[in-house]
Amino acid sequence: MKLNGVFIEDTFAEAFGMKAARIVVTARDATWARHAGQAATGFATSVIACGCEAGIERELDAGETPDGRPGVALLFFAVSTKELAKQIERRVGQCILTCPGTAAFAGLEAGEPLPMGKALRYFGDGFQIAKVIGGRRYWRVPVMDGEFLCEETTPMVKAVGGGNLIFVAASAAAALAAAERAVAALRRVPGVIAPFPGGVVRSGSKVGSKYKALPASTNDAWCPTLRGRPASALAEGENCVLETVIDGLTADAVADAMAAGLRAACEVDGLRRVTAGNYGGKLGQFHFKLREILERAPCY
Amino acid sequence: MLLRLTLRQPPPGRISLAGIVPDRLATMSTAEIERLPLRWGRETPALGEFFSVAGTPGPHLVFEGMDARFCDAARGMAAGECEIEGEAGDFVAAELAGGRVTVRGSVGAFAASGMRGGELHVSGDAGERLGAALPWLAAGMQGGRVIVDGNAGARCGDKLRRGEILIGGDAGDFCAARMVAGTIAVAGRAGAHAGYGMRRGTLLLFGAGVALSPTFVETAFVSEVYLRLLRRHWRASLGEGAFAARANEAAEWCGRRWLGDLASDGRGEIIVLT
Repeated sequence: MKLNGVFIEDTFAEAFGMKAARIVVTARDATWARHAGQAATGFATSVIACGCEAGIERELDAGETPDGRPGVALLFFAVSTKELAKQIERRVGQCILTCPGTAAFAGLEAGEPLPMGKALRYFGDGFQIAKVIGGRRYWRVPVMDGEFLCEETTPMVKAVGGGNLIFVAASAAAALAAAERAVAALRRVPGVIAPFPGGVVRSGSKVGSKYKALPASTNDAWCPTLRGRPASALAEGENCVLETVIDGLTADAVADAMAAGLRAACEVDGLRRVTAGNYGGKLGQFHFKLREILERAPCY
Repeated sequence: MLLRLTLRQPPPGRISLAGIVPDRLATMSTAEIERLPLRWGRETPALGEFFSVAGTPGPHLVFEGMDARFCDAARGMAAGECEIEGEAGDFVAAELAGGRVTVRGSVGAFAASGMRGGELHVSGDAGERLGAALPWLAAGMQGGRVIVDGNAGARCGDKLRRGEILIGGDAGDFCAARMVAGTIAVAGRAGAHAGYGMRRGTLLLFGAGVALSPTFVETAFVSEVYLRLLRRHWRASLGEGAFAARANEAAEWCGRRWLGDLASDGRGEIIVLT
């Protein structure tokens, strides 16, 4: 199957069940909300070594936030409830509590509650104040610029992590252009993030390594400098491969994002084919078949 | 389904309406409701002696032509809606656990005392000790919301533990005294000794400045996010009324903040908005 002359492989992206939470961070202006969001979602590209995968889902206008100030919606994904709770406590505590003028709110309406202000309130050393407003409990923690207001808990939901698209191109410029277009398109879909830098990853990995200590290592089949070896997946003229990884609150959100990214990427000259990463279908419970997701109606 | 209890004759004395709540009456017939005993000292006159009963028992109960000598109206109600047309006596909506009570008139003392949930809306004035604790209890109101369009008497919110009391007019002396937590807002003036012995909680005053005890210390006014949340919540959830009108008057809330009562736990706050 071809889309705009780009070959779409008959394969699927294999994704996994994860636990996720959305946190809304507001500040006096969009710049400081962005600072807090970027810090809180920093070093959160992969659960392999970061503890969680996180990103800024989107920026929020003043009219969309609980306190009527500009903000950002952040999504956090982890492999377990315990790890997600730990990451949220650390990241909100170290990156949002510390950022001037910010406040943190739960961004999902329902789900298993994870502690947020409930844990961070102790920073107030006894001077913290609990307030219940409209049935939701908040903590007001005194800090040097006034108060840090933080909702007591944030709901956690089951989610999907590891949706992906792999772009195989004739040149590095074409691969990057395709990946950039894909990321720009998929980020318009609500409820998803692309957690790698700029949404793009160049170091796709395979499970295991010749070195016992490593759980993952370079995906040598897709490395152009190893093209020509028997195990290489690359053909003549395929000189650069980039990937985008997508985590979403629901399987539908991931599928919509993959479809949007795939369609956008295929408009780039020099893109030879698009494929997806999987482990033979035995590890992940979600399979996103590339040719099937293209049948979805474009939603964004 | 609406059940209407209309006053036939004024009560001879102070009569308790404890137990006359929609969730209890919903399962009874009209005849059974008329036979329900009321408490008047040692006597137990039937409800039918004072009220005519009409309509269908269900989640909605209306008292028409109430008299202030009836006390305990809607006391302990857990669900449904109770409307009271006229004056109501003491302990209206005391120990309320859920549902909504509307009084188109004034209420006596100890209204909403021990309230745990639901909402009480009084279009007239409230007597003393609105939402306050009984003398032998550690906590007064423990949840829910009380809105009074008129004035509230002395010791409003005494030992308030949780919930909101919103006063559209003035509050008497010792407003928010010995408050443990929760929120009290007064659109008019508060009387003397506001916040006396306050441990925690918030007293918001929209009226002119109040003479505070020296055991309150002024702090910086930097509770912007909290006040924004409160304001948006009130805008969304309060209908019309004196308090809502005053709260929504100013485009932005700004003012001064005091911390106290330092003679007690000292973690309460009084915010005077201008």
